[in-house]
Amino acid sequence: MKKHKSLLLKDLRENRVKWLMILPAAIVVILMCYIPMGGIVLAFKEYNYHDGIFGSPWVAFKNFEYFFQSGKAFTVTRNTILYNIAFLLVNTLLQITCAILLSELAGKWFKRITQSVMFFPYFISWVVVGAFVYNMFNFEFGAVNTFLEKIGADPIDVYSNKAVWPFILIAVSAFKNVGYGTVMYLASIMNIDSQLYEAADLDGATMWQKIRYITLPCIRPTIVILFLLAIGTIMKGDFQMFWQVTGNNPMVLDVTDVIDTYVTRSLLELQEFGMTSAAGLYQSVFSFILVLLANKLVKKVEPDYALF
Amino acid sequence: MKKLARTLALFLSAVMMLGVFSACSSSGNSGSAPAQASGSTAAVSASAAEPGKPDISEEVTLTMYLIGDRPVDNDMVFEKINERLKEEINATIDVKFMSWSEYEQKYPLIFASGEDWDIIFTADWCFYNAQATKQGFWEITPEALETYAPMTAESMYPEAWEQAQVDGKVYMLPMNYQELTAYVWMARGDLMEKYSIESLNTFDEVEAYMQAIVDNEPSMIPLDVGSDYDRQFVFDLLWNVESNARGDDRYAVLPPSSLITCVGENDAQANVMSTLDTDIFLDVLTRVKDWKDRGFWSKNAVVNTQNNTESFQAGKSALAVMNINTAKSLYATLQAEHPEWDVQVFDAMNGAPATIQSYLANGMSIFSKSKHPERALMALDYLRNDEICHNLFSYGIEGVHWEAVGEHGLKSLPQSTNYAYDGNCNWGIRNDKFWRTVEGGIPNLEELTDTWKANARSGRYLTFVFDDSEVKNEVAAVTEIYNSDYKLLQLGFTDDPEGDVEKLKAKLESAGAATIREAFHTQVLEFLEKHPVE
Repeated sequence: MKKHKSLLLKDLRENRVKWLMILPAAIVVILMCYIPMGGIVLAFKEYNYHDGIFGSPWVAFKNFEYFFQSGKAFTVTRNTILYNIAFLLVNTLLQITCAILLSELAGKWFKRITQSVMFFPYFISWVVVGAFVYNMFNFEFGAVNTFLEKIGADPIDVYSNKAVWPFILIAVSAFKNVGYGTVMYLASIMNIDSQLYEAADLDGATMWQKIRYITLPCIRPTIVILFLLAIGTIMKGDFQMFWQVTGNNPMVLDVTDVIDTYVTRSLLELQEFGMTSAAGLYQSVFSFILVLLANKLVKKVEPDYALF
Repeated sequence: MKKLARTLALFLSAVMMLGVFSACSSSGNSGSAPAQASGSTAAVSASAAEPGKPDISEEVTLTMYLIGDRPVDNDMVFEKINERLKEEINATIDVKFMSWSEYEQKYPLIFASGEDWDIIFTADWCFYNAQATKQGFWEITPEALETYAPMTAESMYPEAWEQAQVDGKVYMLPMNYQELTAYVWMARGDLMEKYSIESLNTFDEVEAYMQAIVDNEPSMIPLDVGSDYDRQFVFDLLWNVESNARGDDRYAVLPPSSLITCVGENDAQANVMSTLDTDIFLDVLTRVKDWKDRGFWSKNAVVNTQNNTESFQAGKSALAVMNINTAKSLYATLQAEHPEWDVQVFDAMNGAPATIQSYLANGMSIFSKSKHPERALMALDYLRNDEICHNLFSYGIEGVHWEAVGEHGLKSLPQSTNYAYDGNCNWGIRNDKFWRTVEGGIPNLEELTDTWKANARSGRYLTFVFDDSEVKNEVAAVTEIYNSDYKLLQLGFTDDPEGDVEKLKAKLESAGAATIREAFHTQVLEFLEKHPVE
């Protein structure tokens, strides 16, 4: 123990600058992630404004009953996980494809412009995207129905059609996120040693073969790391996206309600801070277990790439 | 929506900060003790300084939350009010607003946010019970009332004081005003003439009018109801008429209506049932569905966050439904903005009796964590009972926004578009003693009011308060259903009314509706002992 301590001190002294560099990030994490964890007690309390978070009376597991009793726990957990898996697969696939396409493009200016245009949606707020979607699919005056009317087809009622929402959500998620990921993969492709490609050219490899045998294997570490990071958030629905894009529409809740929207909605409707914290805690614990499992899996398959 | 997102973000960070701060303050219990202690010492020192008179030597600024949008001339009016308050009680008021489209979300959040504020509008329909039971409000004891609000103590209706009690404690100063609630249609006279619709006194005429709009005005939605509080207006109107047609067997929906429970109004046995089980539910639903199918409101109504009066005002819809008080101020505004519309107002009650509101329909409360609750109470005392403050808040500045006409009337001046009569969420301080009705408002107002007065009645369960402490989980589950599936039915979104009603019933039962009904049954019986069916 003592030895360990002196080691740490020694390290602190020797690598002062590195420790200093990590300090801002550590402060942010402690302030924003560790200290608020104290609020977890709320899940076991009957909160009132007067006594505050720590003064309110304890109620043990009573707050959890509602979440499971209402039968919502299963639906929202299923939705959250399935959506995130779909986003992960579709986005990663599109990101890699776009990155490879861009890297194969010759025109420098064209490449730059395409890249910027693809990146742009990342900066648009979900509120605005929500407005896009509403203006496209509004039944009476939406762009889609106006177009259908012009060509003489029947208008479609998107807001009460459960089946289309998974596709809309996957599409808007791709719209927002593909550009961002593409840049990451592109950077990793640019780092590949160009001698490899020259050698392949000499051997007479086709473009497909070069992608298959050089590009993809070389960006595998990036793929694995980004994948692992994504697993960590697989229980976290992108709140802004689900809330804004669906407009909190009760008709399609069965297929669009994720844990985060559910928690927010219950909080706003019931003002039961305890019950919603309980749902939030459930999400965190589940998420934590998933990260551990995923990491274990990666460790087995690719020990070098495991996060910890 | 963006505001909502921002509010949420703010709230979440506030919760985190709260965590930080309360973590610092050693033990949990200490949080509440000092607040009480300081309150009582203030009172003690005050009475020590000058017996019977509160200490007002320190100048304070009170923050007051109102619901609605900030009227253009709000600051001008409050400058005058503050002049008066500064002189009398050495305090000024800073007004903040939360708009109609977001108050349902924002209201509960400001209690938890740790923000420093003092006074808020409240009502039985606006979170009074919910926040009172969570100790969000400062308790107004009779002693405090005597000391800090002597004028109110004298003028308060005893029934109002009784109604305001939650578990025997009062947290609100209810308005000093008897109000009749009735709903009206507001329609475009120019369009009615165009399609030769004479009046909108029956649902059939309303239906014909809306059909004419659907057929001939493709750029308009007849009645653009939103997903917030106005979503249930049409359903409730139809329900009331159907229920009233049953005479003495009429139903009374038990508050809170989000629990979807009702009882025969004159049923001494208190056979509590789900509104879905009543014989009129399906009839009402069928009609609402028919109207929705015919395109009388948007197919996107459930995601529409604009309420129907805003839409009407913007010229996007041809009809709006609202309560008479909203209609009064909107009428005045529209007369000025769009005289060419020839706005007309019709009785939407269709013979169902108007309800005499409980005094709790509007009121003012003080935040439990207010730093100056006593001064806030004094300020409210002046707003309610001081004619100068009351009139400024309710009607604006005399000579700028209005002119007195006789003892109890007033005339709105053109400038009143910037501070509408009775339109600035002043309802909580309304006082019969100073009340003036607007002249030259809705032309048939008197006729309407006479009809309503003739058969107005106060519902038996107006003052019934449901204690949900034993059934919290069930209440949470049923409220969730009310806000999703039931909301859809209220707006007529169903392809198979009978099937969907059956499905919803099953869902409610599995959410624990039976337990809630049992709790209602016990409590209603207790209530009936005190207020017997004669």
